[in-house]
Amino acid sequence: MSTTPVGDRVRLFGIRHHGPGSARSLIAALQDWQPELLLVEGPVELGGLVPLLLDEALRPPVAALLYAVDKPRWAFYYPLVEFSPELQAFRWAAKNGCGVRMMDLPGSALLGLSVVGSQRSEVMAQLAEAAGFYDIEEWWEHLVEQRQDPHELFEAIDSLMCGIRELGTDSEEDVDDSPEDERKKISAADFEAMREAHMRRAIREVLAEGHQRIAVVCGAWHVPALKALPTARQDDAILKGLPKIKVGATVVPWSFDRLTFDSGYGAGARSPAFYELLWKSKPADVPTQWLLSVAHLLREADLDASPASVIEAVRLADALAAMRERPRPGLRELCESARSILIWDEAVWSLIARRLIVGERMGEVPETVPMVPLLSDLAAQQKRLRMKQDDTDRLLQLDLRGEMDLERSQLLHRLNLLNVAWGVPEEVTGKKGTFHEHWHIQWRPELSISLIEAGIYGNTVVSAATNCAAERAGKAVQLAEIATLVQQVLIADLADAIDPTVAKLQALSATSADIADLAESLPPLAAVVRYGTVRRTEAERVAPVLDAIFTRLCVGLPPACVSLDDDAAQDMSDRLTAVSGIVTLFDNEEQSAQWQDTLAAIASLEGCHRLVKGRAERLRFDFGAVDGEHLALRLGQESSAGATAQETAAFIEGLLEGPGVVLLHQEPLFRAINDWLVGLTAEHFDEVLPLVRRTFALFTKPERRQIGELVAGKGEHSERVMEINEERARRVLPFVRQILGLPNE
Amino acid sequence: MKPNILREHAENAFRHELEELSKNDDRPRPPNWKLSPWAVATYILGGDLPNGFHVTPKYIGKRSLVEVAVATLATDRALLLLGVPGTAKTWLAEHLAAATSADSTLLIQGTSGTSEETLRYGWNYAKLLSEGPSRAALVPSPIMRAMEGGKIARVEELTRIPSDVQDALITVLSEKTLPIPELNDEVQAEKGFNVIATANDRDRGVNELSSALRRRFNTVHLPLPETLDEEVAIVQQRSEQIGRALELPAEAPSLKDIQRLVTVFRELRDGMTLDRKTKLKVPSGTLSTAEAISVLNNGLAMAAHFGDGRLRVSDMASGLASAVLKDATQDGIAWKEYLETVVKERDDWKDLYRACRQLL
Repeated sequence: MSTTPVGDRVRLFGIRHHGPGSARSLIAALQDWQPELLLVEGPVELGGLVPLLLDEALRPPVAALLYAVDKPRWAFYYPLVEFSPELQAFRWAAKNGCGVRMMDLPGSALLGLSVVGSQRSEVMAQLAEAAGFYDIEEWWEHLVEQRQDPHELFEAIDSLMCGIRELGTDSEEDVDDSPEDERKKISAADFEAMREAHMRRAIREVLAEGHQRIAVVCGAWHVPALKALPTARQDDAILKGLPKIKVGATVVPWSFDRLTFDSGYGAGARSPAFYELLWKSKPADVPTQWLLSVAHLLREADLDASPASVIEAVRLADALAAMRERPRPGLRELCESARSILIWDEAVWSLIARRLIVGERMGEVPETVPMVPLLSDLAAQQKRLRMKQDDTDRLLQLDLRGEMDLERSQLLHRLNLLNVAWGVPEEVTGKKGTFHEHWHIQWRPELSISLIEAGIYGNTVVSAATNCAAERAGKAVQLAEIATLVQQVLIADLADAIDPTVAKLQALSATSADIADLAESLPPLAAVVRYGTVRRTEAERVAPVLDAIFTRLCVGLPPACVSLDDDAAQDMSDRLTAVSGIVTLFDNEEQSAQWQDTLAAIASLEGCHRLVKGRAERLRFDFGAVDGEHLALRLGQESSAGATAQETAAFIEGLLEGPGVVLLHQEPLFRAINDWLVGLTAEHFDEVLPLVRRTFALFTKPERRQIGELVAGKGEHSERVMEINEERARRVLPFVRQILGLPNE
Repeated sequence: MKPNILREHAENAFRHELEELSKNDDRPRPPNWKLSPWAVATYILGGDLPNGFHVTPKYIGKRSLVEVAVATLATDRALLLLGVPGTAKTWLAEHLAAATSADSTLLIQGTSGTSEETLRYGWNYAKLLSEGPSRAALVPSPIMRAMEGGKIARVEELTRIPSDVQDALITVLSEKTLPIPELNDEVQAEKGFNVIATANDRDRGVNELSSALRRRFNTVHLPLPETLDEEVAIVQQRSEQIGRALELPAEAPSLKDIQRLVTVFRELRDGMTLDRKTKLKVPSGTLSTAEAISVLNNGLAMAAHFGDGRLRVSDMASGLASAVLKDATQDGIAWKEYLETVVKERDDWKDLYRACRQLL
């Protein structure tokens, strides 16, 4: 390819995307040369966001976000931290009256391409190894990021990269793990070529406009491809047929944690917290400051970390660096030194290492950022309800009797309906359960994308959640599904979604004949009816539906208990237990009676699995409908001739599942089981042992001990009377008095 | 050098390498060091010198561990090597002492009977009675001699020494002086003095390391070999060296035999086969690399003296079993299970299975 050099009017500054040393050197070089125009490697749409990135209210890390308006999943992040060369360059340009333009492929093309495989250079890795470093990252860190003197740095990077690229690159194209979609697939090598062609096109344009001093800021890798320009026609050929997609752009908060993933240009940073320290401090101070922060973290955790140890750690890090012939300790030397002197315990190290190396910083964006309406509505609500977006996992305890907490709960429930899992509810047990909610809340940057996706449902959280619920109600075919949705809609207080969901619930409940489905729909509906008043929801509309479902369930259950295999019987047994629990919750005599009848019918049903039968009898017992004598009688019947030992064991399993006290206090039942076990032949005993053992294993330890004592004949069902020899007991009294300091009798 | 010595000190056994390193070493040396820290690391880890001379590796494992250890000695902080038995703690300590001060003999073996006199100084009582207290009547400990000569002293099995006796080291390590109150005198350490201690963190019945003392040490934790290849290399190299030292006429064991042996050790140690498909019972012994080496040497000796000079599986089997079976009943079960479920199933391990089976 015939090329012409870019000439003196253009200077190329090859950087590393999140490199503090790159940033420092870049600013010094810009200050030195005073360019009038800055061309930055970044999608064209980013240009419009630059004023926002310069807003004083913006706190990095943030990411510029480009997304396809019709398919928000197709998104491109451009993360920026305080020490990003790009962000520093934007700031410098604003201060010095220098123009800024973007030169990479526009988002409209970027988002329409699906890149397959990746491209990397083995040469770099080999060079790093030859220089005595563990990997490229560490090598680059020492060469560039920890360097203080920017003099001729960019010339050096230029020639280094030219040398490496001449040696060729290796593309890995064998694995195609990109998601299947209608986007155009393209190999990593072609994609790179396109981007570089586009950047050259941008350079040609600004040259044609007659600018005199143009600073090009790009990833170091691209420098060789941009310093000589082929003809415009050649680049046009490469750029033919780019897709055109409608693009939305905004700025979202980012986190250090996210930065460690490769995103955007595939350039992550392994150690953002350490890089931040490199940026903020004088290089000579970095080891001391880093090791001091180790000591502080240790002291926070109540572990020893004396200043003397820190001094020794600094000395060791220096000695290590000297041995490896590096000008000053890097992260590796610091970690090794800390682990040799300050932290000996692997567990402690793994606890604090992440905070030391990656850090926990979460960015903030100014309110003026153009957001999709849904995002700005959420931001407004978050502000009103004083709920900060935070990337650490926190426990939020809400008391639903308070107005503020109720609204917070509703917001979280609405977001969950929209698949924006900011909060994960945790089960609250005990008395507090009725009006308390516990949430684990953690904001992850990718939730922004989920929100943008949810934006198709509406412009506010309420309207979007309402529409989303209505749509899901329309599509629902299972009763349990719609029942859960009704519950969600009611606790999220979506007034306008109640009608369509409840209507659908009624429609489905009238036609559904699947017993499993009916049974599974009960818990959410029962929860709605039971807790409705606390949440001030319209529970009364659900109650009649619940009654109807319950009646249908009672009618349909006995026939459904026939001809079950072992697994199905276990499911059915669990189902009976669950429904029983709900009936207790209702506290309604009529329904309770209805349920008793159903259980009685199942218990004496011909052809019903014995596990289910046993369970039904036990549930009846728990309700107080039958007594221990009855259970013993039934066990006798079920274990009499005709039943195999296996079947009897299944019956016993159903009967005894749950607290084992029943066995302790029901003497007839205990005796019946004991007799049955003792009467088994050796062969049958071997057969049922696993089953019986499983049953007993579920009892608590004290229960098992007591049962064991009963069997051994030590504990009687009647109270044991302790015989006390008073004469002998009296003899110790004087000594006890003496110990307690009491006067003698 | 005496010709009939069973085991040479490191500084004699590798004298040639140390001399070559010294010749090629133009980096700055800390006072009283025979080599620069860089050259010490090269001596331990092996490498090629600019003049083409090949230095054999003494320690096979993570480079950074050795670098931390050498850098520690260079900062005049004491070094504590910690690890389970058989992870080359003593071996590494000896070679570090040999390379830095060309003297690995200043050694104190820690036992529960070690007294303060052993760590500091004792008295020649005949002289003490006849002449009264004087420097001439004083018997210096290895530590004291190391202080006077600016050399490295070694303390083996530090945690076997009773805690109150351990504390005698505190003044030495922090003040670098050893007071002799009886003579109203003291010994001040020359530059280059340092202490390397080893301790194992597996055995029970070991004294705690007092935290005051611990703060005066930089700790380097020596792990068991990470990969099969690494461990095979260690076993192969050491057994060759020892075999040569014992003048065993047997042929060197084949790589395949060593791999098999190391595989057995690793699998039993991890409680899992190498392909991670089968779980195994873990025997009570450590099954360290050092034991694998001794099993192999035992086998070589058997082959040389009782066999035809070629290492056969049967020569190794008895050593292998005795390494595994530390507790007769429990380890017996683990060993038998391993033989039946793993060794028997491997096609090319049939001979090993038969040999081990015969001994049960």
